[in-house]
Amino acid sequence: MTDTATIERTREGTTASLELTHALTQTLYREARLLDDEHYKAWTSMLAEDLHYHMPGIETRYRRDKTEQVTDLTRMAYYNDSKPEILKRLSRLETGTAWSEDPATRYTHIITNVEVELTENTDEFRVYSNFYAYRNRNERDEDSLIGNRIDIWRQVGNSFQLVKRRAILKHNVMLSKNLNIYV
Amino acid sequence: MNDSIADLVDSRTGRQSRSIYASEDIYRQELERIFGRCWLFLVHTSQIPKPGDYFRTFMGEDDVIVIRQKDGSIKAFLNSCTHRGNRICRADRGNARAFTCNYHGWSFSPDGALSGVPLENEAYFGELDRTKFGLIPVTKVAEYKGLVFGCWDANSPSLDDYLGDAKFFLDVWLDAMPGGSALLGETQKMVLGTNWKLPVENVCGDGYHLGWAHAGAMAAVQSMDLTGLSVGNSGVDLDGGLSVAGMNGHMVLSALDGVSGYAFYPDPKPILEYLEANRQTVIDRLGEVRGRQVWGAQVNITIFPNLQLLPGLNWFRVYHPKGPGQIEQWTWAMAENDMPEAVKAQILENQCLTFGLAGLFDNDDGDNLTACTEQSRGWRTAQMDVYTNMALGRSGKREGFPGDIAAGLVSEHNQRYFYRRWQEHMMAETWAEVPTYNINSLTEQEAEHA
Repeated sequence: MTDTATIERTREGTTASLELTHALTQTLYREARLLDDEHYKAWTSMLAEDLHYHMPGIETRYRRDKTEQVTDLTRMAYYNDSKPEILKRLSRLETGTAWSEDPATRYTHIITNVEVELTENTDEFRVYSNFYAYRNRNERDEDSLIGNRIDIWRQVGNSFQLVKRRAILKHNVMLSKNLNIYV
Repeated sequence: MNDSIADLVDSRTGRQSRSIYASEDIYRQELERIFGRCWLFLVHTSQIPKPGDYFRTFMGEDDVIVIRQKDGSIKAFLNSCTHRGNRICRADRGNARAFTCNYHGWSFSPDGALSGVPLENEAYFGELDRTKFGLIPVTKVAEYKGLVFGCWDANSPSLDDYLGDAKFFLDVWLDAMPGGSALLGETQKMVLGTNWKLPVENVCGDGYHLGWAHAGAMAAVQSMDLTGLSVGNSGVDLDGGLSVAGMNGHMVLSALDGVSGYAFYPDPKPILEYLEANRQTVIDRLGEVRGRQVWGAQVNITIFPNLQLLPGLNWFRVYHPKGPGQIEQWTWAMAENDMPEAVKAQILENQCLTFGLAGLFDNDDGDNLTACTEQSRGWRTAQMDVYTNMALGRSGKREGFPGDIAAGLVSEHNQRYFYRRWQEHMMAETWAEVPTYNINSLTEQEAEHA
């Protein structure tokens, strides 16, 4: 079972206003566009200094097995990163010697099912969304990564910064030769 | 077939025919003579600590369940109902009092016995001999210091003899500290479009690719020297490490500085503190050579045919073949039980940063190995050869170590022994025809003083 477990959700959230929901939805779309275009400098400027970016690995278990696979941070994760760790991963691309990224992978991120909730912190918002990340590379390399996201975004002036993200992939065996992507 | 196998590999010149990465016939023979014959890694005892704990894995393409018994022993069975062949267990791991088939409800106890048959009296008229329909057991299951292996061939040597002098190096992880070893985290599984032998040779001896294929990844995370290997392959220190082979088909690469295993940790300090705090304990247990030079250094251990473990980088990996052009690569992080929890957490995190699905190094390897496999499928390329002919004939004995040893981590010495072992198995009709060799084995006295 991969419940879309919440991030620090202590009670049923209050739905945000139309205006706020629109602003955060646009933020998610903008982020997706930056990732599609590999504009990582602009993307990382959307990440808060105290970011936690988490993508847990999911084993196949029987329903009666209540092992918490999603939220337990001591378990295996494909990403369990702070902002400095994300920057370290990205620095590999900047060396010009990451041969497996040249020719470049072609990405499309589709973001949907956006819900925005207020949190106990007046400047932070919980944002649910689903992602469809499509990759194509070389001649025939192709795969689709689909899953749920739960984010915390913080309002800073007129824009928003990503503070927490949990991206829950649906794979057990990864059906492609790497995860060279952020969702 | 034997005549052609004899011609496919020449380990004296380091030549391999590219057909061994593409041919369906050769692959079927590998399933029989390598995966059907060798001791194959099943599970680490830390993964199934309690009675009823089970773990699903593969032996070749055969789906197997490994189960901890009531008495603490470990048994393994084909994951296939003896009635109509259905898969009886669908989970990766868990704990069970029985395994019940989804199809008709036949039920098996953890010791493999058929324990329940719906309508046994009414429809089988009580005539079914349950004792003939237990789960099919893996012929032999044995453990070496936490590593559990299975083997289908009743005539194989014992696990102890099979591992031979590779145990000298395995002990650097399994027996360095009194608390022993464990695998951390869930199984990281990935499909790769490569022949299974290519990732094995990539890790068993190929230090040559590191500074080139992984230049970007090294630049991103390297914090210490690793035998002079540098971004862009501009230098190497051949005195800093060893390529060890000639141990029944098992191979080891080892640096000799006692710390470089952690060279690809952006912040190795907590682990270096752990190493120094416990260095004397390990010297007392394993001797000067292994305690001071090998423990903590980068060590790549390959147990023939498909198990690789890298103390230091701390990843542990099995390649399950899925046809001549595909594998499932299963990876875990490895730790010593005596490590502080914070160090274990750092190891798991760093393993995912470097050699997990999103790992910076794995990104490079997956791409290259897949392309090597694809480029062997052509009509013309299948007639061609590839070579592992670096540093031919430059090996011998090294004081304090078993094996036939070449200098440095950059050499193709180990790959030649890997393909030699592959050929020995593929040409042998039975285990009796497979040679056993542990070259330059240490005498008991030498081992004591090592």
